[in-house]
Amino acid sequence: MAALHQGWAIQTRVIQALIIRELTTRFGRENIGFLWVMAEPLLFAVLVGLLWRFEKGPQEHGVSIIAFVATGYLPLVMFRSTVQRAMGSFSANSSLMYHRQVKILDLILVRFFVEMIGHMMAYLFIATVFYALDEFPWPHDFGYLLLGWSYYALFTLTLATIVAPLSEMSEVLEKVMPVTTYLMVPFSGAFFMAEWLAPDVKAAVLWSPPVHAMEMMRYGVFGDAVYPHFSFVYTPAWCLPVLMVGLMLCRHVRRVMMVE
Amino acid sequence: MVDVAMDHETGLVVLKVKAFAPGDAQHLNQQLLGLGEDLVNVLNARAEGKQVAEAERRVGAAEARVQKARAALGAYRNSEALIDPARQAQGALEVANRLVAEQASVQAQLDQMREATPRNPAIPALQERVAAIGRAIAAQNGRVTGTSGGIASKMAGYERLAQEQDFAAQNLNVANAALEQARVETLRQQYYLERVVDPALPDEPALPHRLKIVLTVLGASLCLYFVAWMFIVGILEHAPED
Repeated sequence: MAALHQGWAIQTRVIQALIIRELTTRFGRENIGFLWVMAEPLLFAVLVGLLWRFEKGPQEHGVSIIAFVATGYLPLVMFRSTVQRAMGSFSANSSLMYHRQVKILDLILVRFFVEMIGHMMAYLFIATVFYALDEFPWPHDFGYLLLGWSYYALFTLTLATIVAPLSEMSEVLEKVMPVTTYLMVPFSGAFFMAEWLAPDVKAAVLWSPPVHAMEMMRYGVFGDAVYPHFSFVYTPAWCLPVLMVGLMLCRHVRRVMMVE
Repeated sequence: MVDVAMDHETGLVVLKVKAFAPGDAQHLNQQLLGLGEDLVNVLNARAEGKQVAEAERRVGAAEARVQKARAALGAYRNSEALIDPARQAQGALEVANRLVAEQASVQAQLDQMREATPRNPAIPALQERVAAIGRAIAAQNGRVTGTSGGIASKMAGYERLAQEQDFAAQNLNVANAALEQARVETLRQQYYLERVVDPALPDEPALPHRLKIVLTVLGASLCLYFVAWMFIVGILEHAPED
């Protein structure tokens, strides 16, 4: 028990330190510095939201279109950039393995945390600003919103643990991954509610774990204005076995990795 | 807490009431539904009131016009001693025609008598008869035309009134049809408040979800902590080195 406690203390400190290092190396101290972490999702969500706003009018299926796009885009961008940055994260940071306290999983966790917190900041920012402008509703149920967000984050982390070691094993993955994340877009649930789709398409889309998380978040934000379709167990039940495979892959990579 | 949600897929409106006691919640919900029904009734009454009242007003005006036209015609008939000038004139002309035929035959008899027996004592009587028939013809013709009290001179006034009566009657028909249509229209456009489900009395409290609230607050605090921590880290990075 004492070992667990000490280990936890060390790991949190290591991760904190690595997050600070990651922020500094990635964004520097110039300009707005680490605030750049929320610039990309912010721009994405706001600009696409405004585009849709002018293209399709203020509401779609009875919910504010800007809020709908923002709630869809932010998790999607989190997922995409996390997976993107997970690639090559081992070889880029391999010198850190020189320190005994730094474990291979920390490298993935650090990048994942930076993205997740950055997108949470962006979410908070957008929601506050658009709430003030009356384009974002007061969340119906924070519980569903948070649970959906954590499911989405779990799915993101799971894929990151798979992609990071695989990218060390094969160069091809690096080329294929952007296309794959792009093809993931229809299965991310970002631009629709499952209820709006044709029954067979809906059934197909509900095989995808992030859709459940997204529906949950949408229900948390819009409440009874939307008909969510989600299962509380599907996303974790999908993620946990895959996460296990990912952790095994990380372990394998650690053994074969060259540390300079 | 009252919550109204319009379901855009099914078109139903869901009214949810949360209160501290089940009875209160049910009572509030029923009251709100009652108020909603009252509002719907007021809206219907107003829509019905406008259209139907306008149509009814028109029917009333048309009825008044018909009655006025009838009264005017009746008064004219009384004052001019006239029922139906066309038939009356026809009657007078028929009598005159018969008289003309009779006069012709009597005249023929008279002429023949003068030829055959110029000193027949019946001749003056026949002459008298022809003259009498001629006067009767003139009287009959005078009933119809020529004189100031003749039917022809009364005809113009009579026809004006009869036409007015016809028009008024047609107007009344049209107004009645419009009223009927307005009634049908308002029936068709009526709003309905159909209760799909009546407010139920909960047996046991459904809220609050205590564990969920605690976990939500914890999770939200954790997220806010992360965000705040990152902000502070960012600020500390800018702090001077010493």
